[in-house]
Amino acid sequence: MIDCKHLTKRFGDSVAVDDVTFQVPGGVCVLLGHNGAGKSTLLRMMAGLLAPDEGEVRILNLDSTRKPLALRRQIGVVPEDLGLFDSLTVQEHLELCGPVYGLNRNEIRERTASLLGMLGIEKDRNTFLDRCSHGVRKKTAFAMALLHNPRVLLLDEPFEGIDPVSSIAIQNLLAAISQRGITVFFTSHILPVVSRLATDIIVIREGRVVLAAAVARISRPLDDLYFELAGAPATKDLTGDLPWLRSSPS
Amino acid sequence: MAALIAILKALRRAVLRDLRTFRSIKVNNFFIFVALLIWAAVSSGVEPVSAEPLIILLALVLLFPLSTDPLRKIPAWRLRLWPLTRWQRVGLRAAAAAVSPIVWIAAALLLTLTRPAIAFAFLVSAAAIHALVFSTGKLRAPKQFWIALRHIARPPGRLGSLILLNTRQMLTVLDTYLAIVLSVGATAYRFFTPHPDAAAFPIMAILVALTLSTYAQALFSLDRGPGVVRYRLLPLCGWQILLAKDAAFLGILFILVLPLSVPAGLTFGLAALAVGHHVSVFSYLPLQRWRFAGGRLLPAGIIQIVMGAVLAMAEQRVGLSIPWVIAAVDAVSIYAYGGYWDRAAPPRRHAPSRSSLS
Repeated sequence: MIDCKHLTKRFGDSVAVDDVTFQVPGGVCVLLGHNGAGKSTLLRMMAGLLAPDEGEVRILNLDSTRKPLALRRQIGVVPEDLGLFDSLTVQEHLELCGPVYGLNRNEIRERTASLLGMLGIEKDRNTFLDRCSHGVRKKTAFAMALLHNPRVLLLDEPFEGIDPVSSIAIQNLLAAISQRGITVFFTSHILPVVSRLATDIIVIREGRVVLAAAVARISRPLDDLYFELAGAPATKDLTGDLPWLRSSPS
Repeated sequence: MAALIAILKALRRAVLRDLRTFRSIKVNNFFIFVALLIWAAVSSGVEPVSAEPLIILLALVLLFPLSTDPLRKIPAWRLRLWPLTRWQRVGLRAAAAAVSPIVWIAAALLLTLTRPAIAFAFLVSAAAIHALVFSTGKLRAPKQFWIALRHIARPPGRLGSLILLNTRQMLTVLDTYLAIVLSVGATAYRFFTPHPDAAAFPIMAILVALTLSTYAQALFSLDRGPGVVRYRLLPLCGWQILLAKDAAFLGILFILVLPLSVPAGLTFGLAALAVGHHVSVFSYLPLQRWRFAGGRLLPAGIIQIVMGAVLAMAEQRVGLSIPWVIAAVDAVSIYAYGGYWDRAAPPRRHAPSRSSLS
C-alpha cells in the first residue's frame, strides 16, 4: 500500500528526513517521534505536498511526484495546518470537495450529513471557519479527508485538540474503516491512542527511522519503548531553575 | 502608572505595525494612476484638479480601516483579565486616542497645511466614520457581513465552490469597495445627469477595471499557507484553480461595468489577469483582509495599466474582436501559469498578522 524508499529532505543545512525507508502493507500505522523529529515533513512528502530531495514515495503503486492527480483521488489527508478557508462554512468545505472528487449532489448531501453527525459538528455546519474552535476545524478537515471514500488516509496529529468523546468516536471510526480495507497512517503523541489503534508503529528520531515493527511483535509496554527510542523525559527538579515561582507574590 | 505606560507602548507598537500593512497602497495600480495624473498636471504647470475626486474617493475608503478604535487591538478578554483599577481603565480609554493614526494625520495636516479647514474637515469625517464603525460594531455588523456572504449563489459545475470562495475573498479587500464606489458614482452620472457624455462610459469602465487590476497580481495571497495546501491536495490541475480565480474576478468586474461599458471593462480586466498570473503564481505577495492589494510596480503593474488601457481603447475603435483576442491570450496564460503552479513548490507559510495584542 505505502512504500517509501530512501526518502531524504533537507532544509538548508539541516536534514529533516534522512534516508527513510519503510513499507506499510495495510491496517493502522502510527508514526511516532518527538517535536521536530521529522514526522510532519515525512507526511507532507507522502501526501505530495513536498518534493523529496532524494528517494521516492509510492502509495497504491502511484508515485507521489509523477502521478500526483491520480494519487490525490485515492488518498484523504488531514495536513498539519488543516488546509481550510476562512471564507467558507463547515458545510461549504464539504460541498467544495464533493464535486471536485466527482460525487453527485445526493452523495454529497448524504455523506455530509452522516460525517457531520458522526463528528458532532452538525450545529456548526453554517459557521464560517474563522469563527470555529480548533476542534471543529480539525473535524472539518477530517470530514473532508473521508468524504470521497479514500483508499488511504494520511493524518497529521488527528487527535490533538479534539475532545475525549469525539476522540473515541474517531478512534472507533478509524478502527472500523481499517477493517474495511482502508489503510490509515497517522502521526501522534498520544500513546494510549496509539496502543489501542496501531497495527504497526514507526518511530523516528532526528529524521531517521529507529524502529519499524508490527505491534503484535512488540512485547514491551509502548511507553517504555518510546521513551527509550525517542528520548526519556527530564527527571531533575525543574522548579529548581525557576526559584521565583516559590517566592511570595509582591 | 507603569502598567498604563506599558500597555500604551504595546498599543503604539501594534498600531505602527498595523500601519505598515497600508504600505501596499504604494504599489497599487489605482494609486499609481492617480500619482501619474498629479505628476502630469504639475509638470504641465496646472493644478491637479482632475485627480482631486479620485484622491477624495481613495481617502474615503482608507478612512474606514484607519478609523477603528486602537483599543480594539487588545482582545476584550485580555483587557478584562488585567488587574487595572477603574480609573486606570478610564485613563487608558482617554490615552488610547493619542495612538490613533487619524489623530496623527490630522495633527500633521494642521501643522503643514495653510488651510486648517481641511484638517478640521478630515477630523470631522474621521469622527463620523468612527461613530459609524462603532455603532455598526454594536449592531454586530461584522457578523451580518459574513451572513450576507452566505447568500452569494454558488455557480454550478465542478469549480463552482472555488469560484464562490474566490468571490468572497475579493469582497474582503478594499480595492473591490473602491471599484464599487466608482461604479456607483459613474452609474449615477449616466442615469441622473440630463445629458451625459457617452464617450465617458468606456473611460469609467476602464477606471473601475484598473481599480481591481492589482488584485490580479495577488490571486493566491488571501489563501495563505493552508489554502494553498488544500489546493494542492485537491485532484485539480493548476489551470483549473487559476480559471476559478479568474472567473470570480471577471464576475465581479462584469457586474460593476455592466451599466457602463462591458467590452471596455472586460478587455482591461482580461489583460490585467493575463499579466497578473505571473506575479500571482511566482510571488505570493502578502495581502491582508480590509487592505488594498499591493503588486509589483515594474514591470507587471505598468504593463497592466498600459496594455489594459491601450487594448480597451482599441476595442472602442476596432470593435468586439479585441476582447475575444485578449480572452484567448488569457486562456493561454491560464494554461501556461497553471502548469508552472503544478510544478512549483508551495510557498513558505505566511507570517501571521502581528497587528493585535493577545
